[in-house]
Amino acid sequence: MDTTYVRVGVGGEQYAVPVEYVHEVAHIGTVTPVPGVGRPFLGVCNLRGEVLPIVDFGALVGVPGATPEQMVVTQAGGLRAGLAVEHVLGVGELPGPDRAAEASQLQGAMLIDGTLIGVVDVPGVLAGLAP
Amino acid sequence: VTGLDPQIVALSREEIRDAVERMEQVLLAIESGAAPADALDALFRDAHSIKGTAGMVGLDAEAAAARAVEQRLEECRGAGGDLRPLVAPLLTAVDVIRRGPAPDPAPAVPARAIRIGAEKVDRMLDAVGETVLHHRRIEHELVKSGGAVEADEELSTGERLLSELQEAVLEMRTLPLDSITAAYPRAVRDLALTEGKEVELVITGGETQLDRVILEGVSEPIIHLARNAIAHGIERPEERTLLGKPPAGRLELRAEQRGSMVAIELADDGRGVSAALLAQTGNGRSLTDLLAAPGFSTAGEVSELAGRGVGLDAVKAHVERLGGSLEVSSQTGAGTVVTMLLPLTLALLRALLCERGGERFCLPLAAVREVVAVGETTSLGGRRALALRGDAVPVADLADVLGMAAPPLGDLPPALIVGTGEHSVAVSCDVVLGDREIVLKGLGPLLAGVPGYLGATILDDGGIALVLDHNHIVRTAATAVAPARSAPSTTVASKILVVDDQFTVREMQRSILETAGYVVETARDGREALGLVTADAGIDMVLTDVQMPEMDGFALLRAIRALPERASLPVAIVTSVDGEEQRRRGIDEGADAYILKQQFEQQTLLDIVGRLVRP
Repeated sequence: MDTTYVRVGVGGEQYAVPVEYVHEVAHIGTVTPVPGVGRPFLGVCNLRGEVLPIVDFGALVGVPGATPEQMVVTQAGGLRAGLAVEHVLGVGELPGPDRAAEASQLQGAMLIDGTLIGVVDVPGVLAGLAP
Repeated sequence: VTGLDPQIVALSREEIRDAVERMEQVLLAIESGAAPADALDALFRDAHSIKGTAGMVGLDAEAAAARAVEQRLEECRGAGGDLRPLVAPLLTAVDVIRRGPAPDPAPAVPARAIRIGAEKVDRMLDAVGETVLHHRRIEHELVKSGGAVEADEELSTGERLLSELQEAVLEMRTLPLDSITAAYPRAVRDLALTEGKEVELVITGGETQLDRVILEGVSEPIIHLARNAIAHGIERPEERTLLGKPPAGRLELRAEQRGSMVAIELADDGRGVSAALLAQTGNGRSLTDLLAAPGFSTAGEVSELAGRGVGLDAVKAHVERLGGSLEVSSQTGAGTVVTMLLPLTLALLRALLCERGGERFCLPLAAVREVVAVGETTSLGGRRALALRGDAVPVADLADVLGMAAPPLGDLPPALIVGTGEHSVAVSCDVVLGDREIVLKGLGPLLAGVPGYLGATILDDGGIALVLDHNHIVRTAATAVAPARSAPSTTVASKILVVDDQFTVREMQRSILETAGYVVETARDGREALGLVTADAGIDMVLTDVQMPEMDGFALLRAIRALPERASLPVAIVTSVDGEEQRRRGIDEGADAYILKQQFEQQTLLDIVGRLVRP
């Protein structure tokens, strides 16, 4: 069954975030670093009055990339964070993962038009970042 | 129960809960010998109504328990009406009714109150804060485009409405202390009984308003402290009688507002800590430090209850996480007082804003004692210290304290003297931006565990300033090792005393003068200033405000002119009141200069000061 995903690009790779965990997509704006908090956190930003932690998605999946400009605001299990990415490629229905992926941050992967797209395990990622 | 309106069931539960609470109060009164005349009837009435209500909505366990209570009361009435032996079993029965068979579903509350999740209130607060910022942006745009007078008036109306709205939302976050103390009399009674002691609990200041988050956080520490007091502080009745104390110990829970903080004190009239332990205090080690050292206990034996000091470290940590501090004082033989000093609200805070390495940080103003310029420092074991009125205060760069990368500080950097209790440290930064009211926001659950921060706040320009945890700073700064900087060359600079009751004004003048090379002392009112002038012959000039509590500027001026040795000390009056009369009065009283706050400019101030003293 097809599910809706937000497709993002980091360091030339593609990932899909299930839309049920996506609150919104936004420009990052100014990131305030929080000394003492290491990677993959970049810091916090002001999302219309909310102080939102920003996570460098590239660093999370181990893909070095350019400076992230956009973020996918994700929410699961009471945890919220903005996943900073280079590009948001679009929103659309995809068939869903049909193969395993090695990275623990992924539910799996799918091959679409010759491009391998990793499906992000949002609850797992956020829980993994929690103290 | 099926087929019943859940709202009816919820209402019934509320009714039962109220009746249970009334019964409990009567039972406790009976036990303390202060039974109301109609105690038996009152208990009977409530038991009966519980039975009826519970039976009606199918709460069978509760109904059965109420029936049993009624039966015992009936027997008691037949046997002459002495209720005292019944107190313990009836309290147990009342508990059964209260607990019920299953945890309460969130009840639908009757119309006079609505329940709102705390996070919804916070979201409202966020939205209001954003609206305020948006309002300022409109204002800015309007000024740029040379807006109409009418629009200006509308804007100021809007601003007033917004601040009313903000206040109303903040009020939703506060609750009185007695909203959590209802269960305490019972808990204290049960604890005392287990320990074979008699304890009278007195609660004062129950109406004191606290942020609900703090209130929730403080409940457990209070119970813990009460446990300690009952188990290890208050003596057994026979021992107390021998000591000439009343057989029942007194446990007092007091709450009061102190400025922007709320003090919650738990005081007992028990044995206090031993003289041997008190003797170990001093030399920078407070009783709090001693008792709150991890694993410390004054109880030799293991008791069912927590030891006097056991867990005090946990209580301290808990209170500090809420942005407060803990202090213990004790007198051997006379009792112990534990004071938790907590911020009034976590949502709104007066804070000092400073900048380091291009980032802005806030510190609760209540935790900042003063702002000084770091001049000469001494170094011991690689740790730098600053001489401040005879004390050596450790100095650390804020960047080192937080572990952030930042360019080196400039010459004579400003430093915040941050103090909790008797410990204080100086934290230097690039620039102090002044104090303001901030809305404190959490960093969210992902970053909540990061030590060093109380949260963050959104500034007027939409940027974020992290709000630093002063307790953490004090701990970290004292141990942060930084290379000793070479002391700047020392010249004998003129010393100027700045007198103003407003922190911001004081610090602004201080920073201007210090940047220009003067040494600056400050005082908050005329009286404090006069004390400094009398004690310190090195003061070369006084810069004073007019309106101040205690002793105003003119009175200070008169008092200085009356001092035989300091009668010619230059005094400049700084005032917001413009007027020929004021000015003449100042000159009549012997002021050397008169500076208007409205025209307050760095250069004006320096020109006038430079005329009167040498830099």
